[in-house]
Amino acid sequence: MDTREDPPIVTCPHCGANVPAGEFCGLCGAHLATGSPRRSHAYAAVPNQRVAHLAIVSTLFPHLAYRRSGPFRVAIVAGGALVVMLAALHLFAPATVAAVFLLPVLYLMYLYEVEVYEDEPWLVVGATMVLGALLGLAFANVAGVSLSQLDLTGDRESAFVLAALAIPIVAQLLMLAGPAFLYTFRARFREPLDGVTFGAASGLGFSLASSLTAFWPLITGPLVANGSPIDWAIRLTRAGLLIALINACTTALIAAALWLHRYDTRRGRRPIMSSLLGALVIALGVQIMVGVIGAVVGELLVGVVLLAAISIVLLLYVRVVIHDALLVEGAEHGVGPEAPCPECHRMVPTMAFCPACGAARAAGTKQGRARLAGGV
Amino acid sequence: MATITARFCGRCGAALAPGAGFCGRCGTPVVMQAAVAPQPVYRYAPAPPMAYPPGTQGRLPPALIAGGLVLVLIVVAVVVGGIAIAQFAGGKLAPCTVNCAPKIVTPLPEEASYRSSAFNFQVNYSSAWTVRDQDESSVTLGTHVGSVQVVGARGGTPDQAAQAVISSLPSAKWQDVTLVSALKGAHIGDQDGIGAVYSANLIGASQTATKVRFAVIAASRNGVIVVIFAVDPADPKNSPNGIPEGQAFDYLCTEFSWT
Repeated sequence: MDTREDPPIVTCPHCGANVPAGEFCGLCGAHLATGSPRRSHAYAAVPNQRVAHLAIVSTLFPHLAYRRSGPFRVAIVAGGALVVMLAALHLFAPATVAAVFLLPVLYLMYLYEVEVYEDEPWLVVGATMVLGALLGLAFANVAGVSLSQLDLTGDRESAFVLAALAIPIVAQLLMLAGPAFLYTFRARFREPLDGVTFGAASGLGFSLASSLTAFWPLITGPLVANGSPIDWAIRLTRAGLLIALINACTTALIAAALWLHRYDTRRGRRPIMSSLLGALVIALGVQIMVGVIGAVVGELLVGVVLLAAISIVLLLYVRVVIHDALLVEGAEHGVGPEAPCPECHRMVPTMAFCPACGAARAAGTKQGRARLAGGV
Repeated sequence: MATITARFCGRCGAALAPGAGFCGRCGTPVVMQAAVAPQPVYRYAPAPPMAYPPGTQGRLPPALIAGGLVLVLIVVAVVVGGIAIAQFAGGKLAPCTVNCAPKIVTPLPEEASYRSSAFNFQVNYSSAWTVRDQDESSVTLGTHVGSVQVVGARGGTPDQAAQAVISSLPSAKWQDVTLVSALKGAHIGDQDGIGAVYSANLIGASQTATKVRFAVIAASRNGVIVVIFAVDPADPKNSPNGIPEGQAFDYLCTEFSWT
């Protein structure tokens, strides 16, 4: 039996609302002790991390509570070790397949784990990962043949225009096709994190198919191939991790901004970084930069270092957008009865943000929210 | 309710230890902290374990997720490895190797030419091709679907020159270079030489791999060695030696002039 008294009511210095006491305002997410509305020390999806914290899982898998994300982090490390081991054994074809499948398979597991698709799993997975993969397959075949021909004939100018401008822009638009479909025909997926997830899934599906297509002549070559394992490890880091991450991030970024553009009723409070125009400029700019690097940087290692730097900046940018999106989205949610917070596991009033740890309720699994709040 | 009269960092919001000179989280000096009125922080109780019905904390056991993911990767890698073995052992490569189509040397409709000022040889080529690079001893031409490079040098033998070309191909770009066949009757102009056709995977811009066939032909006269390196996308089913522009390359060799 719970004999504990109700929490006192305090006034949030940021939004002015009377809210249950705690570290954070349950309505606007501001840090109550300091009145900081940005609370940059507590990322809204995983409050025990700063916003400026480099992490793949809590950025692209934001619905996962921190303690449930462990297996995904372990799987990324184990998958990477498997790729390196296969490359060291000169088994480049299996290493390539393991590398390009790693993140998409993890993301498929993530979609299943958090049930972001609600009661339409086939539609959501089909419109994001499968459609992205089909478009990636078709596009990589068409664009790859043209690019290879220009490479072979030594037409550097046309190859540059194709590789650095046309392919990145068209590819980015194709990666947005699936999320755009859901945005248009499934209005009930209204949360910005839905957009993030759909965008990342589509980007990863596209990356999987396009990388497989690009490497297909090598995959179907001799099982034990020649070449330097270090070259291969670098090449697979590029294709399996960096390109996949960049595609997932740029698509998630645009999708998140698109979702916010439609559903955020407080546009005046939205930071410029998460505006649709800002997201488009950043995403297309990054894709063009990646294309330029691929076209003009011949040294594999230099190219990978540059892509790694871009990936880091992009991941941090996506975190800022997710953080902002979760903060401005807060007012959409009401106040409900006490329920365990999925992040800090304390009994707190059901609000937009956990008053104890500051986790955004919208960053929890949808089924979990309903279950824990008794259907609220 | 417990009342905690703690102070908080004005920069990051972390609670400050009593008497601390700096914030333990972000390091901001306490003297610089804005005066924050001591405010009681309500501490919520941990949720009782029974709040979670069995099986609802995580849909899958963490070890099972991680193990399953690695297992999926291994299975996929093994399956694709099997496909690769089947491809390799099945002998699907190059049904057409040597002299499998009539060797017809059709004159080109229009010709352009390049003359080496260093070695005084002349290369005649289709005017539809594009000069990509040239200097006093070499020329690189872009053809319809591939390219051809003619390089002059002094010293050595044609064998050595041809081997030097193959061994100088960077392995980061040229993968799985395999000898397909020797080119019997290889010649450059009216000089007999040696030649061979190779298959390879060429990793080009944006790390896109392409199956290619290339021919290396070398011949020497009066101490001058000329090496011709011609590459096309591989088409072993429809083209002699798997090189779609093989006839055009053959014509370039035939029309080569040493003087």
